[in-house]
Amino acid sequence: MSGKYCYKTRIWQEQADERDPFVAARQSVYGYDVNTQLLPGAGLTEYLYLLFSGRRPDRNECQLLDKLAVFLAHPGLREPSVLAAMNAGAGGSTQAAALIAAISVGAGQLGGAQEIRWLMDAAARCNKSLQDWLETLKAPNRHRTREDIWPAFDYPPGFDPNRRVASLPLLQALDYLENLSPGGQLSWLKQHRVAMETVLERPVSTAFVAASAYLDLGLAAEQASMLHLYLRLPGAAAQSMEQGHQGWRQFPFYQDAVTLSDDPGDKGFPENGGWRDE
Amino acid sequence: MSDSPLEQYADKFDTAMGLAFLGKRAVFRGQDLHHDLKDLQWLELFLLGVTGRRFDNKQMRLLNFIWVSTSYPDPRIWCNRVASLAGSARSSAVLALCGANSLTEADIYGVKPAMGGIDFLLRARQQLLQGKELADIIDHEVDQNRIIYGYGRPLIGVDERIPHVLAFARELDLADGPYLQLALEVEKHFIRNKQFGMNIIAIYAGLAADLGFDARQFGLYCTLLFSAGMLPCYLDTLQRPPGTFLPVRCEEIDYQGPPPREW
Repeated sequence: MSGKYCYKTRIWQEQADERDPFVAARQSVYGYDVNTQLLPGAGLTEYLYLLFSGRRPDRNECQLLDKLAVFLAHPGLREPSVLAAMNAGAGGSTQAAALIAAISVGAGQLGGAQEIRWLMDAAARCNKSLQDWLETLKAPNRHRTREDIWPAFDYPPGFDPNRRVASLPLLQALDYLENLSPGGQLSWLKQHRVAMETVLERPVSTAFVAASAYLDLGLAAEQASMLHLYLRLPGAAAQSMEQGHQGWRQFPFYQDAVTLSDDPGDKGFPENGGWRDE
Repeated sequence: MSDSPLEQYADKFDTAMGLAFLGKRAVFRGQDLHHDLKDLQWLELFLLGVTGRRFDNKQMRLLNFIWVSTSYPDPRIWCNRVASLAGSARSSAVLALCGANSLTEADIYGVKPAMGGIDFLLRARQQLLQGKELADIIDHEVDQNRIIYGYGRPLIGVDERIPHVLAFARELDLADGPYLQLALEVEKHFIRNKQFGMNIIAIYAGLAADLGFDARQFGLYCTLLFSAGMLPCYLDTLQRPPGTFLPVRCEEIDYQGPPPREW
């Protein structure tokens, strides 16, 4: 190290080209050479797991993450983060804006990365005890001691506050993913889902299924929530691009749906604006 | 129609916040934007949006100076550095601002400490009025939250914003409110017992609480607290050769991970 400033990392290593200190001759991630080992030997799922956890996944973990990524890649057109991205497409905003919009909305506590984080933290405290889970879910703000940038929960995290029944595709996904990871948190969720739904009077949500999968993958809360932000972007991106091609005319504006309850009334235009005076 | 709880919300959204009647007029919080609010400075409009309130001239000057006092176009500051990198990488201005601004809900600066700071003052004063001792309130808060946002700055050196903001608040006769006085009392406690002082967040929070802000409103007001410093950073690097903002040599990466291994 001869530079005055340096970046410490356990992830990324470079060896400079002898001809130019700003050009790398070799690059490695967690000790694996990118070009001679990862590029020919690793799939995207394996590489993702390595980047987020620092560890090469075993075959089961790789399969579970791969299928979780497929399940999450498109959250569905009606999902708020996807709708956010489509607003970018509708108006011809930048592609980055579409993803920023999707991440901003998809970061939240309802179906978003912050809900994943809460569930992961709760899982560490509840340790697969149904009683502990129910008590925790009924009082989600118990550990909230002051105001924060994240609003307080007004529903049990991991359960959908606005629906009466769990979606069939979600339950099918839970079954499929649980088969890939028997005996873990997904199995626990599958076993206790109905009991929790009955007590909480709400259906399980995608967030609980995803968080359970992240737990079975051995990921920490911050790794899981960051991965969740990333994994749900492809569908948002695709819908945004499609909306861009369709244009704003093919995108609901809710012209009559939004109404004003505090209206001062029409005061007209100024008389002497001078614009287009004949 | 189904019995879904969402049915009552589908295809309707009634709001008092405002609406654009395109081709005719626009309403902002119950007032005609172009008729009733045309004389407002932009910050007044912004504050009307987040608080629903109008502030008098002195209050506006103070609220404006709080924003001004922390707008540092310094590319070393983390959020600003995002704007600088965006300019150097030839990204767009809005993306630079958006990326940079998104950093300001951080643990150690910005909106999160601001909300935590005012929340503490609001709760602490309520407890004082109920007869509790300040020292006990502080001790309980530290036990519960480990830190109190707005405090913890080493006594060596000062937060350079504090004397300016306090002096300006005094000049405007806005420095005598109970929350600002409480913020200063809390600092005295920490100086006596922990040998550390306050940072500007405690002052901002005290002044805002005295102006009637709650934690959510103060957090909303602080969303653009640093923004004026960001675009100069973007512009600066945009006007230089591409990719030249503090480039990093390969050897300036200090790798501390596992040794080379086989996949």
